[in-house]
Amino acid sequence: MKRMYLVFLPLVGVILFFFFGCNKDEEIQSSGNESSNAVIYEDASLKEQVSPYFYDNHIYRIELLGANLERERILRAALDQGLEEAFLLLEEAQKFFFNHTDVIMYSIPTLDPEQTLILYETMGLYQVSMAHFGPAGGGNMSFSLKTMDDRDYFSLKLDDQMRMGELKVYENEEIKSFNRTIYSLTYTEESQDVTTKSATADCCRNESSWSDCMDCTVNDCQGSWLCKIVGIVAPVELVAGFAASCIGAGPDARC
Amino acid sequence: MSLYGKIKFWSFLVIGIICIVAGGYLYPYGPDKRPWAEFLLLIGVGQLLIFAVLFFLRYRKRNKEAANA
Repeated sequence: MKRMYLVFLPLVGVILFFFFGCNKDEEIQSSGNESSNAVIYEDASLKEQVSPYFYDNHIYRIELLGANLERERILRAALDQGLEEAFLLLEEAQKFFFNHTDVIMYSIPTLDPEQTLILYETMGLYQVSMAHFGPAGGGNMSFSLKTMDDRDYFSLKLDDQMRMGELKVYENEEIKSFNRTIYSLTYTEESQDVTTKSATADCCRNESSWSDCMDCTVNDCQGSWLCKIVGIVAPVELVAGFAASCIGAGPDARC
Repeated sequence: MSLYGKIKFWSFLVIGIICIVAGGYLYPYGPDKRPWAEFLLLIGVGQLLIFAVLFFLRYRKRNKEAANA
């Protein structure tokens, strides 16, 4: 009997080893299949040709996220902000690549058709926001981005021909601090130049944002008698010119 | 007013606006662009002032003609 056990036990061991071994292989295979993201849009030419205008198309690739570690990571970042997993339609999560920045954007639709979770990721850091999109009366649609504490930081309206208007940028400390962190991680040396640049205010396009550029330009204009006169004669045209030139303003903007 | 006259009259407005928008566009680009920006703004203001004077004269003449008739 003992001999029988001695023969069977190693056999059972070998069978169990193969059985679990096969299961492990299947798991790895299935996770390998699930992990791949599916490309749903790609325009390689956009990767090379970067338009200087912010309103042009900068998205050169969109992927539909598969069930993989990447999706787990963004889910964790969203759950950390107090969201419930059941509220998110994770299967429809998309990943956006831009040609003018290394920041990756993820969008996750939610059970509420007027809300979409937006995550910006760069260098392993996440900024979680909620996009609200809904009717605003008069055939217009309103679009706003809010941080998870329900504070606006960007909003605009779209008419029936998808033209933008009433663009508003709000002071939002969370977004400012995220920008500062990323900026200091990316341009540590340049950021030292920025303080000197903004101190001398040589070029308003080097101000940190569009609104700062506008402030700088208007202040500058007040110091010039000619600019003041133009402001009296044709204020709308002058401000339109300022606004156009401040598009794309930022510490590393071309001057 | 002849066609040529009309074109010349409205060109003061159009060129004035174009120069001001171009000047305003160049203005925030720093001190090296500032002289060009101011030059364009000056031309723009000049054109608009000429337009304003001509506009005033044109309608004053029209009003007089209407009053005489």
